[in-house]
Amino acid sequence: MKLEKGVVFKIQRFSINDGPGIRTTVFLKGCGLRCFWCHNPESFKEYPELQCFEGKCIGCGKCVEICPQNAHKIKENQKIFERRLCNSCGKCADVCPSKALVMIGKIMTVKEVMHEIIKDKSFYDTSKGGVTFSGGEPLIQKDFLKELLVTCKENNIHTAIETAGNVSWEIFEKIIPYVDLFLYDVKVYDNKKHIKATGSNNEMILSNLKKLAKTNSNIIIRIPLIPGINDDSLEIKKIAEFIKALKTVKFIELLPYHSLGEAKYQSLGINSRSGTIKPLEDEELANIVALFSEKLYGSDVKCSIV
Amino acid sequence: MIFLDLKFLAEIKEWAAYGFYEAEALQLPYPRNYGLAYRRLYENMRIRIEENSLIIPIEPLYKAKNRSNNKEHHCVNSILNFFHSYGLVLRSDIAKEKKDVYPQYCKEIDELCDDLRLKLVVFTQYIHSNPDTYTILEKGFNYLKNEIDLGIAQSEADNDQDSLQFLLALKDYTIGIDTYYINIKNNINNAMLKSEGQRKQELKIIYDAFCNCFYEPATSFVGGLLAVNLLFMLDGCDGIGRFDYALGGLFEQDINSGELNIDFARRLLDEFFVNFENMNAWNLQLGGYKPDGSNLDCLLTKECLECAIRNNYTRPNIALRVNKHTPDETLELALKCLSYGSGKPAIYNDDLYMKLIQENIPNLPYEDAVMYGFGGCTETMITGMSCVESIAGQINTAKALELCLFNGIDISNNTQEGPTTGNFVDFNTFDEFLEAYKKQIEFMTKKFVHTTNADIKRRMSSGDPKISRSLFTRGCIENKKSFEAGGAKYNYSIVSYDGTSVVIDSLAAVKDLVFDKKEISKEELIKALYNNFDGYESIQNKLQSAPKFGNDIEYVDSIGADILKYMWELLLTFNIPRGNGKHVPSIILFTTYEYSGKSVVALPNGRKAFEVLNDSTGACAGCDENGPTALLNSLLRLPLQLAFGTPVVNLRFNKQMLATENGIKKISNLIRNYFSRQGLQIQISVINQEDLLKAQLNPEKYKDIIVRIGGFSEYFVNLSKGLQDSVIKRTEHQ
Repeated sequence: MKLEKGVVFKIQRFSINDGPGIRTTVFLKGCGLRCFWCHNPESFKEYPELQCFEGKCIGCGKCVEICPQNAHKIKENQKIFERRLCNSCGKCADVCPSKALVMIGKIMTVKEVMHEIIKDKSFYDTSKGGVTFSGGEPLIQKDFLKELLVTCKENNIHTAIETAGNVSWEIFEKIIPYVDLFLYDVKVYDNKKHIKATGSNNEMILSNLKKLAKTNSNIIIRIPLIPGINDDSLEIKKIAEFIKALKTVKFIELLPYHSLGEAKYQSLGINSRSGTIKPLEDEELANIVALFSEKLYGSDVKCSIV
Repeated sequence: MIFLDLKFLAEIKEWAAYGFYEAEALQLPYPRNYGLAYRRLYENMRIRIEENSLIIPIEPLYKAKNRSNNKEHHCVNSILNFFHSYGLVLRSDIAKEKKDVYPQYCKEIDELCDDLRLKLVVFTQYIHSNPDTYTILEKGFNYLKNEIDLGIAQSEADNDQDSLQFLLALKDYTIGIDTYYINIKNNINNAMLKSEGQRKQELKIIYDAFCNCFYEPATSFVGGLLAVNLLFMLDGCDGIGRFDYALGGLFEQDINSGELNIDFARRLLDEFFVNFENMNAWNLQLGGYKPDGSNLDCLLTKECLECAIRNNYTRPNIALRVNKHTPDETLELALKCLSYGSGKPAIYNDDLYMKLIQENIPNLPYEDAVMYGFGGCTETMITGMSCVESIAGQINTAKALELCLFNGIDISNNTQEGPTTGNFVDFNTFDEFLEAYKKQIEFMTKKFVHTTNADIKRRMSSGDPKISRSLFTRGCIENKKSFEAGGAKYNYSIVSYDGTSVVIDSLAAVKDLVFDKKEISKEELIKALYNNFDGYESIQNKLQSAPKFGNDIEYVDSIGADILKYMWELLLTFNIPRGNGKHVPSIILFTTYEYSGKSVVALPNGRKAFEVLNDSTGACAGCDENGPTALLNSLLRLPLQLAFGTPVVNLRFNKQMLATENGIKKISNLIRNYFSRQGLQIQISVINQEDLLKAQLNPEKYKDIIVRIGGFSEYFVNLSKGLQDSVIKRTEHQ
């Protein structure tokens, strides 16, 4: 037991929007979807990688000296990083004095992660909080995740999982007994639009959700509201009807799009595609909530913005 | 000499000076000169009734600085003036103004100032206080006057001249107050007669209430509030004690009977709160236990918090006592109030304060213990009954570390400031280094106590005995001793510790990098510090990357716990000469924390010379990276209960965090958890980092931003650049 290792890219304590009470959210690296609005692009790949914030570079050249792959160069006072040469050894990040180079993702054992989680046990207990595993897609690191969940339950810690559901049902089956709450993302109902927006189709996502709903698990549906993608009345109607038909789901949380990821995209050498999206105005949000409530009429599903 | 001529002093309206010299002419012994000075001052006090104002009077004041527009105005234009902390003081700026008004007396006014400078002993030691509103409301001013008369008779019978002269001085003061009271009454009456309609009706309510207030026990809320206000004015506008305890019963009684209209009551509260801001007044406390052991929380508690929401200023500096019986709604209302960004109220663990006060103040009965509150920023005191040196001074623990690293030498001016505790390079173990540091702390503590106690001794028998506070602080009349001389029921001093987190981080880095891992040699470290890291940037980097306090790292926090325990237990062994109270530690770093940093060279936490130290008990700016739960866990490892003078904990949250019910509930949970695990106090700033950066660039546009530093709130744009930077760096919890 507890031999499993996984790649964690962030552990956020006093996390208050990922389930009940005061929580610690553990972000596992790796995701099968490529939602173009994603503000956690550092979660895409399953292995540790180097983030390079060019604006912070002071041109000291320490990374050039230490890099065994010669991925760092300085030419005419210009810092150049050739990502294709990088093998993510992290030596440059260790010596970078200005934190322009940062390794994202750390290989951790279950014991190490639990050590961090346990620190706020007292806060979980008094606030009825716990731990939330997020990502990325936490279910991708299935064995690591399962051991973490089992250990949390042994320590009497409430567990939640934030998933987009795009994994095989067998993985769900393995972890359901150890999960107190699923925060389940539903992004787009229309499959073609879903493929365009996320790079994957949504058949498995929706069928897993249907099956999960039948297991009597606690589920909160989370919908990121992306202007031009899922904020039109047809999408809202279809999503609402689908959730209504699940019968066991009682809560929908709407997450308005906000643009935070730009600098992160650049630092990872990924082209961002979300540049043109304008965040929703308060009035538009109110209209969307009203529309959801209208479509959910007759059920006891509650809808709120978080 | 014309300036000694009382007619002249009357002509230029220098009434305090008039009384001062009158006593001299009559050859009255000390402190009668002070008694007469205050008597004449109040006998001749101008009464001003502002348009639409209901809280009357709003004089006297030494000076009032409107904190929101930073403009100063003074109501009492006397050269010999009154300020709550110092007593009578000489104001040369007003002398200048007076010379413009009386150009024919320029020479005489200068002579007056010169003579006062010789005769008037002024100690500028700040003592915050809260007057005894409880006795005024429950027994009335006549009770105090009667007590003075009884005391005078007793002193005469005993032929006890010191007591007698002190009580006669108090009696003089009460005569001044009597005249002042009548003048106020007449002025309200005149204003009422001149006004019409609603204003006339309102002034009638105020007039009737004023006529029936102050001298006898209060019977109505309006009368009670006017009595409290009069006392607040006489004290010179400092603190006001447990406001909802003092007036909550009358408030509920009058609201329930229909006697008091809630809108009118809210206008009164609004005006009272705004006066706090305009007059640079300090602390007001809400909530907490009552003498019968039950929890106070009442309608007025809620109304005061809502009043603070309506009037989003820095003052009054509200202290909310929260105990296990305090309803969640009160704490959540307090957090809602905090979400507007004024930093008020600060939140105190009532159960724990009760315990610590009873353990630490000898012979403190329960009914007095429950009356604890705070003066100024957050100095713990039994309100209405204490003379607390607040703050007696600072012990700069970071400076002591500097001295330890350089064998007692202050390297910025090459003088031997501390004892020779050995060269750093000669220490073989971390423990040897730590022992040397303790010796520096011991030396600094003893030196501090020696200086402070000598100063207190001087004040006990010379200078202003603090006539007003002697009258309105329980114990002084009974003991026949002034506030300064130790008459108050409870006497102690509060000492603030600067730079503790800088020290913890530095010690942890030295232990880890120099002694344990030996990544930095002792010689290298000393050279790097001596050269302020110029040319030693890689060493500075290593030091900065070492584990820091505030991140829930047990080994760092325990180094802090050991050293703080040592320094605070040491201080607690020292008494003050006044009433044999203790020197009580605290960590209250108001704007002084930038100042403290200015005298300290580079230190092993990676901080460069003369940069700011840490804010109160908090982590060094930007060093707590794991959120508020980690910071609180770290704090709980420190022996903060020894520093019950108040160890200030500042949490800064993003504005959105408190904008939702969810956020408020979770922060409320966080506070309850911290208190259940014996945390003492929490205060919260709500601000976006982005806003602060903008405010720095365009101060004109962001005059309203208030941040919490040390023990109270301040307008961000009024802070120095260095302090602003440090507030910006202070980690914002998402």
